[in-house]
Amino acid sequence: MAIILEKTFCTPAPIEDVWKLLSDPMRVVTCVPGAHITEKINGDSYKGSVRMTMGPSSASFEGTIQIVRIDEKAREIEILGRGKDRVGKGSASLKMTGKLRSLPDGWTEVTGVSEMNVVGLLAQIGSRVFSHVADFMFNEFTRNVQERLAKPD
Amino acid sequence: MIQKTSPEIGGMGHSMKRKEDGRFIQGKGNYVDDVNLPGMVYAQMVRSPYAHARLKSINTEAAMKVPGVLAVITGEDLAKANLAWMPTLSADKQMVLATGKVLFQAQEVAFVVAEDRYAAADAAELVDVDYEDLPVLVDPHKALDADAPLLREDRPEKNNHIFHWEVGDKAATDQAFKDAGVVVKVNALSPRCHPAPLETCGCVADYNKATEKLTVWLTSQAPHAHRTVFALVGGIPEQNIRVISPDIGGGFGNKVPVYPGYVCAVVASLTLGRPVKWIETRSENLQSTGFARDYHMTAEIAAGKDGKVKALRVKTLADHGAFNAAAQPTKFPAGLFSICTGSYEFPQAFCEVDGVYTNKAPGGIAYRCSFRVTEAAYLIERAVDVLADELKMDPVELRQKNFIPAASFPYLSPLGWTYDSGDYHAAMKMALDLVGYDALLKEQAEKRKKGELMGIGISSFTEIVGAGPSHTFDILGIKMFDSAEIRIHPTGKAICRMGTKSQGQGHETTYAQIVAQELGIPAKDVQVEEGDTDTAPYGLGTYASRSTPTSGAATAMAARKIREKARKIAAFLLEVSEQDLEWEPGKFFVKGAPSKAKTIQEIAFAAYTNIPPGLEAGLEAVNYYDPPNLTFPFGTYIAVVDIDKGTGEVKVRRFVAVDDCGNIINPMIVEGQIHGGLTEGLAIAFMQEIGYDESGNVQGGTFMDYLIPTAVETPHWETGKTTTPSPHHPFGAKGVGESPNVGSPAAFVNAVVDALSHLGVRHIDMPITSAKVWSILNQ
Repeated sequence: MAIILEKTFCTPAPIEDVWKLLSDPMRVVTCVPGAHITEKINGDSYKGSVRMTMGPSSASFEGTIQIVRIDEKAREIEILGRGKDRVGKGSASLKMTGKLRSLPDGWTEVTGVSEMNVVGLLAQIGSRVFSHVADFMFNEFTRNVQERLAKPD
Repeated sequence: MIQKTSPEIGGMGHSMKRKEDGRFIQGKGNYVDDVNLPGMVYAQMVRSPYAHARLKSINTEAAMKVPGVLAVITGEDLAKANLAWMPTLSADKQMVLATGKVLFQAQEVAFVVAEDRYAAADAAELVDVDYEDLPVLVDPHKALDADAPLLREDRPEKNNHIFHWEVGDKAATDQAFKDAGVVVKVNALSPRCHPAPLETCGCVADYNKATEKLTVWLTSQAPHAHRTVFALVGGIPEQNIRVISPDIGGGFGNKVPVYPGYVCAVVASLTLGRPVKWIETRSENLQSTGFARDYHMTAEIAAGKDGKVKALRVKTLADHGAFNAAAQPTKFPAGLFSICTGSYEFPQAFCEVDGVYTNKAPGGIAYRCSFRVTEAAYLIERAVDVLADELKMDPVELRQKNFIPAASFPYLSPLGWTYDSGDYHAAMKMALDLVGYDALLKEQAEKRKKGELMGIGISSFTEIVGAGPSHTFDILGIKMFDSAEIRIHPTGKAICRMGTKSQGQGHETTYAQIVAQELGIPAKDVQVEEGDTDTAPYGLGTYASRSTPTSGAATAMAARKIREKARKIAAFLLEVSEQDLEWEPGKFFVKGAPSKAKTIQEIAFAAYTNIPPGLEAGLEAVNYYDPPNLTFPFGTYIAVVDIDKGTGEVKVRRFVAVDDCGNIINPMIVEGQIHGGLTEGLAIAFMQEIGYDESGNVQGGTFMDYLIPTAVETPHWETGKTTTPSPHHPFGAKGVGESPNVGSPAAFVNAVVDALSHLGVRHIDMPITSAKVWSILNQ
């Protein structure tokens, strides 16, 4: 089951700040609800986990996060996460593409596309609600990014 | 005509209240999950989340550490005992527990046994299975592509093709199409659906190491056949196996196959020496057990411009899932699908079916039908409507023009079936009168002018039931006779046992009524027992509306044997010759002296107390009935629907069902069967589908997604009967359980298509959801 979501938002932060956040997996992952990076494997690969709940059911996906493409010039980044559920309920993959654009007033426009694929029990029991959960997670993510930019660490 | 007995006797034709309902209504039924034995342990299946994946490893350590866990059985364990695979009922084999790879989501991978259900469920989550996912094949139309993933590496044929089957005269059919004035074609999918019985499948396996006897309480529609399967597959001497089907909460074909859970429970009990209970959850039932249909069909009709049909050509792709586990006992891989010429006099026909594997649950069971009859009836009834649309002819008139005339029975169809009896015009006429067809047509024309959507759908189906004659049917070589054993007690009461097994059909009542009809013993005095292989005579079980045509016939034949012996005893008691006696239900009397009589109860007492010289004591008989032919029930159903243009919602305003199932045993039970079957047909037409997404995830795996009709959705059913007895059945009955499910989907779909036909719509695939109709209206 593939769910593709595309969202655009604008933030008053300058493009450099936004790029710094989005291109740093250790920081950006803190914006993904339920996600953690546990270990850096090499230059662009990390081990991590995502926990998600859907009504009475929950799943913890453990796997890898990889920066597939990073184009500093075009301000584009593509991240691929793949994981398996700890208790055999299935697996999931998430491809996120982010693209930044400077606006004339100094703000930054962020366009994100997320493509989520789920296999297993969650894809069955969640087929009615899954797109809503994905949508909710993506909204949380964009809100977290905006908050993080408004209050730099 | 059947001579009607008194209400006290309650033979055929009496709407006797069901004897079994007392305990069901009071919650006193005894289902498999009600069986609790000392020392019993519980099992939970570990299932694959993937539709197609290689099994790299299974680690059971963590699961074994859960307190109370006794065993975790894997495919590798079963392989050591040569039990990792088992034969299916369709000349294929299927995995019991996966080895090497998994082929569908929810496939059985490991079996956890624990002291209680909770420990088993907790431990099942801790069985660590390492999968490597493989490309998934979901669309059967791609199964034979060169680049399709190969699913069954175990087969010598390195492709996904199961069988090609064809019947009929291809050359003559093709020629008829060349010469035809009109040719129409329809592609119709009979979607994957599931019987979803109220009670899911399960068993309690109890192997007693001291007596070496294995007792299995099983949700089985065919306990005797299952005992033989256990003996053949498991190598256990058959006399040491006792299969008991207690009360069964609905089967509809779902409880015909042998499931991996049964085999694993038996293996676990043999290993542990303790009773093992395994009961499916609802989702397990929907996702892994026998689905029905998934027939991707094309029908073409060649006809003259006057509407007279010349030939039928049918091509079908059958999606069988990961294993060909179709529970069908005919000698033909597509079962009775060649009944697809339906109620019509086709001079020529040709039908071909190709079966393919996909990454879906195995099955292909006959859901409330005889082995692909629902598919066939749906297809022909749709195709005839498409022809009517093409010819701008009234679908009723077109049907009447092409019906097999009543005088032509027995009728040999171009695809080889001999229809026993029928009067299709009479059923059609009664249905038209009941529904008020002419007034409806007028109303529809007026509504169309106002832009309102109303449709009338006709289905004049012909059924083929009562499997079956031994020349056409067998299960693992066992012929499809069925049996009855009747014993009359000294006080004139009786017990009878049959090889069939009720799952709610009311056998305890209807078989008793047959005995009452034949012997005059009140039906209330006749106890009916089924489902215990240690006590009942061998039989092939209950499905495909076969109980009345087979065991019902056997009951009458056994009763007649008893009556002949009773005649001898009566002659002895009355001191007359046998030829001087006449029978009326309940007694023999001397011709011309009706006061000189002996009741069946007096005769029964004498059979134990005052036996005529040279005659054996007792009064009992057994009959194994091998029907000479199938029976062919039929009917005409008419649905009237209104469609909301804003929402696409279809409301079934009226539904008239005229059935002809030959002579009727219990009118009330027949009525109940028809109501139930129509309601299931409604659900299939409008609500239900076991869908799969592109990754092979089941999309109908819960009752949130796979909808069950309730009183809210169900319209009022109006019914009528015509009676055309079967000429070869001992009391002229034909069977009725599946007719309403076979005949009704086409009526519903035809009604919706009719409502939209003026917009150019010729076909809509089931399930016809509001969303589907809405998008057609908003194209």
